[in-house]
Amino acid sequence: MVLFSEMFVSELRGVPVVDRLQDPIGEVRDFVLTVGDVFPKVTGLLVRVLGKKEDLIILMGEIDLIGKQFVVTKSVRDRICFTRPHNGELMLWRDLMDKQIVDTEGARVIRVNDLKLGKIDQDVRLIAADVGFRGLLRRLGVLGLVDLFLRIFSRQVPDTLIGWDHVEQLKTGKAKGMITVPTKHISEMHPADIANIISQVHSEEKTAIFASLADKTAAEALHELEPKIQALLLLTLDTKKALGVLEKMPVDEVADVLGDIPDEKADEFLRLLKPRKAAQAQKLMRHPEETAGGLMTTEFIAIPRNLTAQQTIDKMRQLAPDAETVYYVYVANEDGKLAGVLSLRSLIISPPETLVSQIMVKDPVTVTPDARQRQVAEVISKYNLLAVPVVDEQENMLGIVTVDDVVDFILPPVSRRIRHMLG
Amino acid sequence: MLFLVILGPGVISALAGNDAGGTATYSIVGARFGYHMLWMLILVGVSLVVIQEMCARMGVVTGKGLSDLIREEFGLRWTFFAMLILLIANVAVTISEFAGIAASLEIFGLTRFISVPLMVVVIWFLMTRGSYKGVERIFFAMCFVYFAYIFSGFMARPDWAAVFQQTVVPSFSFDYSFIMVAIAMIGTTVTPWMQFYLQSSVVEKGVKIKQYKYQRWDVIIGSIVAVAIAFFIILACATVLHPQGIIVHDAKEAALALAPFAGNFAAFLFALGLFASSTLGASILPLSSSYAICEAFGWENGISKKFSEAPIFYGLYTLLILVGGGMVLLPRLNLINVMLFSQTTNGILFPFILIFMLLLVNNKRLMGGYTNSRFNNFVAGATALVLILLTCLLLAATFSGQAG
Repeated sequence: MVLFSEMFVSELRGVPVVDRLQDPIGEVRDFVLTVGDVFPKVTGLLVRVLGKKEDLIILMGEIDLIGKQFVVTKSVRDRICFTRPHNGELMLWRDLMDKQIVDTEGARVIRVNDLKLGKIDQDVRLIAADVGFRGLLRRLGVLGLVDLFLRIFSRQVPDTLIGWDHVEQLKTGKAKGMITVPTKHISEMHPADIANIISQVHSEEKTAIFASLADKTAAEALHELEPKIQALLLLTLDTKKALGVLEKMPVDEVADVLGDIPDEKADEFLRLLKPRKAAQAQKLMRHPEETAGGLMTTEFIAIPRNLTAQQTIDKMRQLAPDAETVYYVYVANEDGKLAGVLSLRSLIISPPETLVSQIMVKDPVTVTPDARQRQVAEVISKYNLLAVPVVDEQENMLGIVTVDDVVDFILPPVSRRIRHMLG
Repeated sequence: MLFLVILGPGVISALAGNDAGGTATYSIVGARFGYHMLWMLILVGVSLVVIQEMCARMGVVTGKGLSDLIREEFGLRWTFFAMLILLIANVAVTISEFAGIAASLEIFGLTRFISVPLMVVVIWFLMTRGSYKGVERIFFAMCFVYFAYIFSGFMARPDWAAVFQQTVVPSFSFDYSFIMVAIAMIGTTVTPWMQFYLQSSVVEKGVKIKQYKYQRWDVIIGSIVAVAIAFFIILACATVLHPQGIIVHDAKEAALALAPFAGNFAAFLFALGLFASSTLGASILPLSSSYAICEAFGWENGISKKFSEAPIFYGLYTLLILVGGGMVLLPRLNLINVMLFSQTTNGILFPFILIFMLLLVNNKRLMGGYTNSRFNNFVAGATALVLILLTCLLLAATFSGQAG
């Protein structure tokens, strides 16, 4: 099989198909693909056959040459074996052209203007998506004209190709025999990038992408999304998956998202979550969202004042997996009131047998649960903290607000900023 | 809950239809032709309900905007064509919005050569840099001034028997100005941009099929309110202005229709409403056009992006505002005529968009069990047909020497 150089699908659609004696057979309508490889292989051509009502597939093995002027088959017309499409196959033009894809390298969602085929070994494969102006002009049939014009200024319309190895295909609508490509690439991206992509695709694809993520990645991505989308995902996901994701999230974020969905559904999740987490989340949900109480997490490390530095470090090994931050250790009196705070740094550089009460900073800066978000941000910024403890009137420690919670306030994640102001 | 229904995307987009072009057109309809076109408005009301409902349903079922759907179903060439149509129509409407801004502020004595450039800058910064949402609400609330027409319509003591008769008995005249105004009236009530705007609003809201019945009511109520206001604008103008032979040459004349209700404050009230609705339109339209076009072609878009990240999006947006504002500053332009012509352009172009919509909404693969009913297809098809027919008649009337 011969393919003349690399070609674009738009240049090949409508090209006449002839047999080896130059007798016309029909014209190219589409290309059949197999998935699985990084660069999917073209296995056949969908041809509008002269004198037949339906389009039929000619397998690649029957094709001798593919060119911009002609497609030539190996044998004569009567010997060619046509197959009928069964709607389950992936078609280049029907299923990929003009659809949205994810560029995993640039972490963005874009539209396919054209598709590039190339020859790898003996196979014709899909090698790239054209997402730029060049593809646009080619599809409109004016690329030659524009190129001619620009040549006067010795310029050229730039090519914007994305190699198919960096492309993640999205589920394509409700089409029959739809193929869902595993979202391997996406799951390897940074959760913030994933969130950015989820915020750009249509609602069904949002759920599809999200459901394909590992619980931990999903938990991190969920935090980056705007509340409306968080709620949508939790409500459309199956309960088991949603629970898995919630279990991986810090309790303050769990409280946040549960506060945004209808009460019955939130109650159902609270019943099913691990009792300890559910109880903490419920407590947090009582605080208004924009206050320290609403922002704080109850997952922090607190120790009694009679421990030594070494004992504290041992204890942290036990507790750290659950805690949101390990940079501060809070020291409590016998009656549970906050006595002081230890930084991880002072803990590590002190001799192992030192008592924590000797190295802790006494009377640390605190905020009350009803402090406004802005006030908390100001405190954290003024004292250069990574987290600030939240205490009630009796000085009992309720939780901590970490710096990332207030950074979000000052500079919301990109995907949370309003994408559409319409609606 | 009621509040949510009232302020849903259906209501917002239907009310936004009563913008500068809408106000001017309805005023002219009443002032020049009395009650003669009321029957047509009722029919337009029916097609507004049907078409908006179609659009919202498509948004809910497919989860995609109209320009997305056109691109994915019809390919690039048709998309290019549809976007060109949308762009021309939206440029025309944007010009009419700035004409509305200019006309309303001229009532307060501010010349358009100051007000328009000023508002161009204000709107550009408001939409790209400022917090638009809050401002939108204020302007939106100000649009409720239009409810004054309902009171004015009653207080002008129309001849209700004549009103009723003209509402149910059709009358038509093969006359250039009658046909042009008729197209404008249809074109200002059901507009191309509204379909794109409504559908993407519905998609953004993430309405599920199960909740669709609420969304449906939002659209229906919105359409009815919009048509009711239009009805009373025509009624007030027909009762107050038509007998005096006022044909609405400028905004001041149009304002007189509010006199039975507001007396000496009529001009003030009218200017307030016109200013608010025009500013709202001039803010939403260029932005919604840029979104629709950039999404169709897959260009980076969104006001959260920097200029360098989404150059086409911002370029298009800026260009639309500059053209919209700039055209109004052409010397010796009659603002009311600009508003009227832009709506006629809308009416002439709308059938193209409507045909795309009809093909999409009847596509079983996309819509499953939610394709159009026969009644829907009939109404929407008839709307397209009537507009095409009227356009042909307009051309015929123009060439048969009745123009001018």
